[in-house]
Amino acid sequence: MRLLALCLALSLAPAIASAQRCSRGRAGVPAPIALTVGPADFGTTPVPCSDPRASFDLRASLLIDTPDFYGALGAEGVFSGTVPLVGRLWLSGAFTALRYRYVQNATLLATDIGLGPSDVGLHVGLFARDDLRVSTYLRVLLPTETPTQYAARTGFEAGVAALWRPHGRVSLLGGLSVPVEMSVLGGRGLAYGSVRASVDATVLVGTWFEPVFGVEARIGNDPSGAVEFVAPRASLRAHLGRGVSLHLTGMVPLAGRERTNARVSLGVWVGF
Amino acid sequence: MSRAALLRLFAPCTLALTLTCAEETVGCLGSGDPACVPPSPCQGLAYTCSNTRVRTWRVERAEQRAAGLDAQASVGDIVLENDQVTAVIDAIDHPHHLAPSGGNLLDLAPRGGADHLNLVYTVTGILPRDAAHYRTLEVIERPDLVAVIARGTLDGDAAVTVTTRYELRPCDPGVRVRTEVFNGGRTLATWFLSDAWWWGDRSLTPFIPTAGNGFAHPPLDLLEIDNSWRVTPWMAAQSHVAPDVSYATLSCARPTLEGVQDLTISAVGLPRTIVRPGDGQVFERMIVAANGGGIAGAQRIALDAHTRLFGGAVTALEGRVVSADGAPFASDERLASVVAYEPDPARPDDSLAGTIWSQAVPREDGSFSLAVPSGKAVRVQVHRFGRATTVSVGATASGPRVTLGDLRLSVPGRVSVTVRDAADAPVAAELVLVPVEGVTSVASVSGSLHGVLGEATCAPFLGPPHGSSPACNRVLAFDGTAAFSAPAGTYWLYATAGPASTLARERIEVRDGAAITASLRLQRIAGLYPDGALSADMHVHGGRSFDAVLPDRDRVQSFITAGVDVIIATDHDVVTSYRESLDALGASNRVTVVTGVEATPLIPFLHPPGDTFPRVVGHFMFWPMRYDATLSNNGMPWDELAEPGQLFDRMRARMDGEGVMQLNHPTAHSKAGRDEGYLRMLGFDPRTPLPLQDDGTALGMIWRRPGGPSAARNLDWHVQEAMNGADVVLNLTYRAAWFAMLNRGLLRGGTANSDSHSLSTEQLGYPRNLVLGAFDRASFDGAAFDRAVREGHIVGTNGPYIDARTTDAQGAARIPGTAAFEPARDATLDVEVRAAPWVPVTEVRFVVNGRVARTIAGNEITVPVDPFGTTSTVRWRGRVALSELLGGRDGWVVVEAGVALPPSADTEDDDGLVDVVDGDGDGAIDDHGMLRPPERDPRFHVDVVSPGTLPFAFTNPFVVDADGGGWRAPQ
Repeated sequence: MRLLALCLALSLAPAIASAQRCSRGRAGVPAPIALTVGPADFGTTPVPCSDPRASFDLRASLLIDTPDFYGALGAEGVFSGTVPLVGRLWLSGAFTALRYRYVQNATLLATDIGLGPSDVGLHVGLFARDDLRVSTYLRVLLPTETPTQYAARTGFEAGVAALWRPHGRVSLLGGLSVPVEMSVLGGRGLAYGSVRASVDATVLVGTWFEPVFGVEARIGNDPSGAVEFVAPRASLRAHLGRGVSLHLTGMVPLAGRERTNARVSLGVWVGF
Repeated sequence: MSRAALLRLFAPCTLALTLTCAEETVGCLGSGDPACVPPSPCQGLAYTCSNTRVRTWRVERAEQRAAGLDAQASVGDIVLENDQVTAVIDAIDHPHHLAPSGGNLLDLAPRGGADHLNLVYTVTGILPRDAAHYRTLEVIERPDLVAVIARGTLDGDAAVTVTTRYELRPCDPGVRVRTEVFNGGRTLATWFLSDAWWWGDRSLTPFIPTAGNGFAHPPLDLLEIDNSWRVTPWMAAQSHVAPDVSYATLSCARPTLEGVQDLTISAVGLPRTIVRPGDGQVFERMIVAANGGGIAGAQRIALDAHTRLFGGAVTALEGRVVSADGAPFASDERLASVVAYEPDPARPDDSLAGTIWSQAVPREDGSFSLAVPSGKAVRVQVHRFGRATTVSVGATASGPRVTLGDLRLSVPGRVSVTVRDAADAPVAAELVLVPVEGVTSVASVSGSLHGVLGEATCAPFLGPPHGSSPACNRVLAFDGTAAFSAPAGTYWLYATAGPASTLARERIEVRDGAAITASLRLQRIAGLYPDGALSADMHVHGGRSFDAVLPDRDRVQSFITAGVDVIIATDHDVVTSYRESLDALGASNRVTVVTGVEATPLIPFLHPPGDTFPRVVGHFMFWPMRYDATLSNNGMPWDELAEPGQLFDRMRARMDGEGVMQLNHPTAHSKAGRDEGYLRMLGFDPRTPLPLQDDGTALGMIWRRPGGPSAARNLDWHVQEAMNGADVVLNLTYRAAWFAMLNRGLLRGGTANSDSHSLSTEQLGYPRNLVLGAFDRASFDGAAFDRAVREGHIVGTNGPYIDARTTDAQGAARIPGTAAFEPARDATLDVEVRAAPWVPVTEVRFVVNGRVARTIAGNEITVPVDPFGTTSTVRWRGRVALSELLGGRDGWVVVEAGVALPPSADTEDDDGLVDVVDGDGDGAIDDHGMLRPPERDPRFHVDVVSPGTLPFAFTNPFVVDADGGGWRAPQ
């Protein structure tokens, strides 16, 4: 409740409301890489800015564990967006509209297709000046996925995100959050919490091309190992004008207990 | 996307935190309480009867086992019993077969009947890690039900919990089972939550009512499992040996089961499903049993339950199978088996092409009742001798009952045979029928069990190939007489009493309704096999093996008819003695049975260097074992997850004395992912010498000491099979493996065993060992026998005998054996080859250090004029100087005699091991064994007696230390 009250109080500070917007004109908003190992946008570092935005991503993941005779492929289409509310308060949301999964256990394989998980987030701008933005946020994971057997998956994530622009063409974006996923089946809950951090650097080349490089790391409470993953990631962005941008993004978990080999995303967003 | 799919896609249940959308209740899946008791399964089914008794107890005595050779309950196992069935859940520390723990359905017998189940256990996939590993059992006993709650995890994932409730209520015709599996891990899983039914190959035949399937299923290839995948409303299975029993299972929450069927294993359960961490699955099913032949008993219960749960109705098609004069064909599937099937319009007379719904063996009065779904237009067809007859009737299943009346069959021909010796005394013999070439075709008299177990050599088809006599085309005449029915045809009727006796045959013509008598004479050929030697088959299976059903009585009779002196009883993973049958038949003074066991690991675990897949270590034999019926598997230790060195220690703890440890079929192929030959599993290639230390290669593992009290090495077996059964392709590889061992100084005796599993699969005593010594079977000295085996004083043979001896430097006679000796100056190898006239011998080979150094053939070999006579048994006699063979160097010599080895080749995998031979003499090396030659071929008679056999004998090595300075291995 204290956190909520703080957020509300901060959001009603009109003096710096407009300063929470970050658009760079044709290049749009400098944004961290919105790709991680997790449902919807749960566990991604959000943009610490209130600029309205809508996006659609096609995401895929690959896991091949030959020694374990196990493999998994996933593909999903995710709609997401940001909507400013008042002052320094804005909402975000992500909805996995269609998800396909292929999971192989030795020579037994199964596929399914359905809705994926969704999340909504409430963001509060904490600090804003020309070269620095800081926000905090709270996300909730919604159990919209199908098919499922008996359980529902939900969760929450609290975190902070920051943008620093040391140079007109260079942006550094960082995030620190605590996502907690829960699976609820009757009176039984299974929760996994973690602490994650990410840093991304973007370099605007010319007026439309922007490569991004970054890394994400997570540690969690899994008994089999604290380090969930350390994953370098990269994205190539093309800003087409009129607020429209395309991106091709990938990440590769290299260390830790996470078994996913790679995730990629191809998407488009529109800034308003 | 269909509307229904869209509805499913957006099913509102996904938004609820607690979901009840699936058919089953969540039960303990939704509880974090580890002591939570899952709810009763199959609550939509209720049964009534007059006797409402139900009880549970733990087994305290061996006598409490159910009837039947597959009944395996031992002290500590839990019994659930009502007036209909008896079920046994094995104790946690009594794992059986492929299951990593107890807590599974071990026995299930209908009241008054026998148990035919090997094991039903729960899995979520096809890998060992996917099997339920239970850790606790909890018993519930109430007036209205008894239950066992088994709790554990998947064997390979402790985060995935498995809880199974086995429940029996009064009047239930079977066990209600509910399994809850919770994915407590972090990974998406694909589960196939199912029951795995371990049939073991030759026992129960599984059945599903789907078009074109019935009893015949596509080959199960674990790498291409989709090809075998079927959806069925229920599954049933039937035994083929008395007292017959049928089983069936159905899901209580879904109208279908999914999975695979095979004679080795079936698995039926839920659809393959992706299960997220934190989610789970529930599988409720009923497993029922009923007395009687065919699937009809249990199938009726399953079909009835299915209609009660999911709608529909059942119609009973009732009738009788009788002769023209009204006499019933009763309780013998050989003479009458009735199927009800929906015909395939293209082949309406072929039940296998249609959808079989039920099958029954008529009862004592010839009556049968076949339950089929109401509304079906079916045909009811009578089968005899494994073939469809022309007797059938069409019917539409409407109402509760349709009366078909009498189906009239002709009476088959009846053959009565006596077998006597020259003194007119009865001779225990085995009779074999084969169609006379050019008169009766094989195709016209062969058969199968509704499309399965149709062994190619079973012509005429006299009975289920692996069941009791008459089986396949063979009949036991234990007391010198036999009477049996046979399909019409003209046959050679053979009588055999083993390779040390003559062979007799008579041409008979069997006609329906006619009685035929035949009298055959056999006699033992004196002097063929040496006095003092014991003829021993050291690898024999009976009905207690999971892959055999031959009753003990028939098995013991076959010991006698095969003419062996010593049998090592070596059932898979269970200690057997045959004591009761030996006593009942008064056969104890005619054959010595040593209690042994074949360790048969089934759970892959070993990762040899460079190998992707987990392995098991193949099969090993151990005897003598201590038999104790109160212990799990009668005292056989658990043989899983152990390398051979560890296995040796485990087994020694249950052996009487030093005994013998034998490596079986060292280069046999794997089956269903389970390696059966240790050396092939390790990648043995005869082109490369075996390593002499643990060099980091897979084969180097033979030198490992994997741990155990004696720190035994993996290669510390005493003897190894150089011949096993009649498969000439594999026998050539066993021979190569043995020679490779000898060449590296790994001196192991070579043995020759039948590995017989029934009357039709590998003939008992073909091959066998002649264990050399001065033995008296009547006062059998087991320790001396075992010592002679360990020392390799053996000639292995499926017919010929090789008397080979030489003289050592001290002037003593030396017979084959693995101990090196210094030969006398100018020592010769004196050899005499003898064989019964019906056993062809065309050459004698002297194998030196693995290569044939000299061959005697052609005119030097005596050929008997009359294969059914008693003369010309000495085929070759001669001597060869050892120095001529070895050139004055250390080495070893093995003498072989028989028919020339067929041309062979390694064509399939470039592993140096033979894959194919020229088995039909057409010049093409493309056969996987010896094919039956025409009647004029001298090998024909041997092939009738033991199909596929290539007459062959070998001595154990003469290990020659040329200068007495210590023997050095050739390589």
